[in-house]
Amino acid sequence: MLNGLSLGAIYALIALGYTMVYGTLQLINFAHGEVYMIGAFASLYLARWTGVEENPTLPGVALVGLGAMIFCAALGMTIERVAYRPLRKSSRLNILITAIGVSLLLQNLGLMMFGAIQSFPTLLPETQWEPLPGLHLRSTDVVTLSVTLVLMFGLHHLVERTQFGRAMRAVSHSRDTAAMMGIPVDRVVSITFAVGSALAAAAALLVAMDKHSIRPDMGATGGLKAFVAAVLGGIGSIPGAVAGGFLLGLCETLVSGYLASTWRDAIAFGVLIFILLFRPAGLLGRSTVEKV
Amino acid sequence: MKHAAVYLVAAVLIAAIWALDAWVIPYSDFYITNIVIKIGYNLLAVMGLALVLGFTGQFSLGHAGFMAVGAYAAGALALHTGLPPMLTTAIGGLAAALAGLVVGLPSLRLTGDYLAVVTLGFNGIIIVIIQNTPFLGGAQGLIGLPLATTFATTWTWVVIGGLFIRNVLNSPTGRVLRAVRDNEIATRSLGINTTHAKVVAFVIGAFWAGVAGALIGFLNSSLFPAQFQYDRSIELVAMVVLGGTGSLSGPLIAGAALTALPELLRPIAEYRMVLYSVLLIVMMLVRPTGLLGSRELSDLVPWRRWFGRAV
Amino acid sequence: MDAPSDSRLLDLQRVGIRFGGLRAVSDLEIKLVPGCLHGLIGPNGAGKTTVFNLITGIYRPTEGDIHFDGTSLVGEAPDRIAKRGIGRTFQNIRLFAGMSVIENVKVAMYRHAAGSLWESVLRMPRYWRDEATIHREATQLLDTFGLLSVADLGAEQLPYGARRRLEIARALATRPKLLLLDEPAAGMNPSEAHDLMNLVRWVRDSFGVSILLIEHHMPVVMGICERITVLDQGASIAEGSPREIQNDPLVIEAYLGADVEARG
Repeated sequence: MLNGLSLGAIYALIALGYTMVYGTLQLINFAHGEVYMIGAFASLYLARWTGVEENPTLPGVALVGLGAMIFCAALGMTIERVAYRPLRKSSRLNILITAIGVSLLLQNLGLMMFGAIQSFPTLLPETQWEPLPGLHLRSTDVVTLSVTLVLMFGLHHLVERTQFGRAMRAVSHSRDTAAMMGIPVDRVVSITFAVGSALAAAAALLVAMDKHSIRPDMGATGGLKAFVAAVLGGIGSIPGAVAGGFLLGLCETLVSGYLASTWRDAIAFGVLIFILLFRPAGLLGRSTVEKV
Repeated sequence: MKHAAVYLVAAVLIAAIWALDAWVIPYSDFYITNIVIKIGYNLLAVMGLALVLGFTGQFSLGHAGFMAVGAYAAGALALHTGLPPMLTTAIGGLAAALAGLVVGLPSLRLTGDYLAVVTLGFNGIIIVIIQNTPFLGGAQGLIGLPLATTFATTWTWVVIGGLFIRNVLNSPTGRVLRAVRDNEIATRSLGINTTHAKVVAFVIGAFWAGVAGALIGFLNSSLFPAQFQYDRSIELVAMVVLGGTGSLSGPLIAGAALTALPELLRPIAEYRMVLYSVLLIVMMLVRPTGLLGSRELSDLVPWRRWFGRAV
Repeated sequence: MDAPSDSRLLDLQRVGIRFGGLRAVSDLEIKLVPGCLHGLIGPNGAGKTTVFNLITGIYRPTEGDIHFDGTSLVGEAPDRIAKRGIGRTFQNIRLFAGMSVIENVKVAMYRHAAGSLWESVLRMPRYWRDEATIHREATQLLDTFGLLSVADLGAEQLPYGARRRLEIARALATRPKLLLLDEPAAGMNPSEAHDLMNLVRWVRDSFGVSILLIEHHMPVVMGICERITVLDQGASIAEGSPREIQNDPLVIEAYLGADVEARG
């Protein structure tokens, strides 16, 4: 159960990046999964260079996480600036193809630079205890859940309480109107990418500390699952992404208890198809109709 | 009489292919022949996707899934029943077409990126199903298939497929497909069921993808689910987009080039996917309509007198 | 004053639609007799285009009923409604930009003169015969609309006025009983608009089609329409002959007065 919640938390963190970008640009940022993957490798190398790997401390790990988040934020902003912004006015198909291109590029560059798989060191002590009979708690799950909750609380504050949050909501409502009201749309989009990418980096570090192995193709599967979560909750909706993430995580954990794990990937795909076909706006999303 | 000209051209081409197969291929480099065959089956998959993506404007990211259906249907049938492989190849195409119908009917009400994601999901589900079906070899693969894919069989299929797609494009149906791409609402206002039109394009595209997949199985004598993951779908999208959405010859040229280049330039084979991705991004930034845009080769060189449009 | 109900081609009965809480159209009544050139006027934002979208099935009315040729259209898909014999143009012109002028018209003939896909793929005699028929009819239609000389140009290359005409030609190629024209003279100068209105009247006379026309230029509508429905804030406030409309106090108050003053 807690296992499913922490898996869901990871999906939710990554899904937030998809949903925020979709909210502002109506773009499925296919490269987001790769940003997440690079977050994992950035954490690994940061931990190595700073010596946190040999000699892990809680502030050290937090510093590594912060570093990875900043690195990925910069990466996300760069991707938007170089690949997406020049195409802002062209057709959605073209932007989508570019996004796929960026995703493919990062994944293959990752494969060339990092190799097929690397192991991730143990940075925080891992224990397991049983406060109630039959209820197993793993420390990694607790860490994942608490960090996720803190980040989500921060994001909520950012979106609901700050100037930037208001600007972001305005842009997602209507980019043109927001621009006319004097909102610096380019900067808002840029920061949106930065925030989403930073959250993905945090998710990557949490996953890496739990699974102890990281791979250049982890962004493809992880990203896709998180995307499903975003769609499930209604893409563009921030609470939706959180709900979708937890829902998908719980579903996968519950079902893989009964079915062979090889079928687990099919659940995400099945949920995705089902939702899109029967409730295309997702659980909490709003539907839009083309104006005639 | 002039109406028969295109059949004449096709017949001459097929005769030439078999002549080459009999007198030239046995003496040519095995490695080169192999590349030419690969180009052939990639072209079959590409022309189907050109119809769906380029001419109908429907972004499918699951084309490799239909290749898988065709490949496994044809392969398993040939292996378990002993039917001739080229017959099962056609049946594989029909199985893929049926899969196209099943996937297309519900999904094609969606547009744009949602359609892309749903087709991607179906691609994934098809792979998971194959991996979990012992009859199809599961994740270990289906092995021991008859070796039936030759230069002649592959390229005969290419000629038939090319003629098929060309005739669809230059027909009332082809016009409807382009109308759907340009403006779906206006097309509906003409009393045309656009979902139906899109499904037709999807089914045709899936058929030729299925044939292409089947040829892969009979070339390697084996099939593995991993061969049909979604990076293959993206590879095909790259070929269509680079060649030009709204063109048939453009994607075919791009398909041949992107198949041959990594094979011929061994050092870059490792960077194949990097090359694709960079090409995709640069093309979108610099020339988003692709190599030929919506033109055909015949618009650029004065071939039209002999071949008609869309050769 | 009302036409008898059995002789109405199009009959909107207390039609309304809400988008969320917003009532865009309510209590809308339009009675259109066959062969009529019927105008639909109203100030900006009165909901005229919404009425077209309701008739053609792009929106589904939340209240009331729409009868066409004796049966209800409510709940039918746009392509089914078009098939029943309603053609339309769009306020923001929707041509097939990637196709030539003549192809734009040929697409519209798909339902009347096209064999099966197999006949096309195998290039059977029927295919060549159909294509010849389609080509001949499309050529004729373009000729009557003065577009024959640009038949092979891309639709996007046409000047503005020609695009409007092409859109009407395309709608006519579906052989409709009723043609809905959404501000066909928008963006034209007075002389172009005048020519277009003559064309509209001529289309009605020679194709035997009824026309419902949204128009903004008041004098133009008054000049050519036999009947007029006035829309204000999503509801029909008057219906009658141009003379009756001109003298209707409600209309003068809601629309005409302000408009006439503004135009001098």
